[in-house]
Amino acid sequence: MKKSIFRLFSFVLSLLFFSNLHAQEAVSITASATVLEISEIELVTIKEMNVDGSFAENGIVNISPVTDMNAGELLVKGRANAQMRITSPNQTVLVNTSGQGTLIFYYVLSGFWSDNKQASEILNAPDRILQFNEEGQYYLWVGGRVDINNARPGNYEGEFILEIEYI
Amino acid sequence: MQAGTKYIFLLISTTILVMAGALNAQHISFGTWAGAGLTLTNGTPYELNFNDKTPLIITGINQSVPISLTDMEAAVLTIEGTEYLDVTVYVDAPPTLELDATNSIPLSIRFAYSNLGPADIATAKIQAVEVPAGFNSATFPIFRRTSGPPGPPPTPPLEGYTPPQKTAYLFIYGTLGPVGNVNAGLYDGTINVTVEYSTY
Repeated sequence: MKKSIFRLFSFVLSLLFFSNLHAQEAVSITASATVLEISEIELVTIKEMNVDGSFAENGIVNISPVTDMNAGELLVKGRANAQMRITSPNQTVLVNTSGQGTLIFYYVLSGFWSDNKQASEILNAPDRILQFNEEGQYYLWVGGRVDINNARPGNYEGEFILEIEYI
Repeated sequence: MQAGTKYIFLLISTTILVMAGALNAQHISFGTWAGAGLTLTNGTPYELNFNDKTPLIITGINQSVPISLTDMEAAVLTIEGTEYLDVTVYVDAPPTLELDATNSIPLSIRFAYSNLGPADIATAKIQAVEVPAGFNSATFPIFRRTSGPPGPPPTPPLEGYTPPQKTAYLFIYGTLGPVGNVNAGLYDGTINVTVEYSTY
């Protein structure tokens, strides 16, 4: 009888061993999501740019964004300390709203983290990374150059488009 | 009296022996079948990318991104095996997608299977059976007949004989979110899917 019981257990153990050969197939799936932080960016015009033909030298009006009083000033409001990139056109076409003719205005932009025009730096590299200050502010000054030698009299207007993106 | 006692003892021993043998025989049988071919393969899409459904997922606004069974963003898996056998699928998904130890987003995963021998994935989705939320496993036949009497018993396993194969589809989908006030970045996690021939 003892021998019989021993054989019985041997058999069961061997069955359990073979059951470990039970095949499984497995694959892995990656679940993912890229999440962004986005907050509103507000652009406030502090001072309009004034292009006055009477200041022309040899028919060319040149406004330095750093030193000229006629430079425009913008305040960009965003997320505190956030990094950003500003993209702007190098030039724009101004249209005579009171008659015929157009002018090409070549922009020059400078920027600084506080309201200090004299300390601002010319932003001429499109991929330059800038940073809002602790209050989420960044100041821009807009100047440029326009040749009015062949311009007809009138009032010229154009768009200036700034693209600001968080990094 | 003593002879009678011995008799009863032998009877009980025999009964236990038979039951133990029967239970383990089941395991051996299906284990052998599993070795005869069961494949689980990634389909298209092979991952669950919530940006494919909603490109702009933003932090801090409690945004939720659901990918449903019928969405083309649901991940697809194919199971190929012996048509008259049952398989059990286990889907082990993390409860969150993580950026790091302190930034995570809730993840709720569901899955569905399609086992009517669909001709393509589109048909498979229409015929799919959704496993109720909260379940992480399901058992179903590789191929489910919709009508008619059962066929004859299958051919016993023979060397060189391959039993008839069918393909069943598995769809993985779910909801990400709500996305709380977490850091921006790439959140990810791994969903492990396992399939095996069912044992009873």
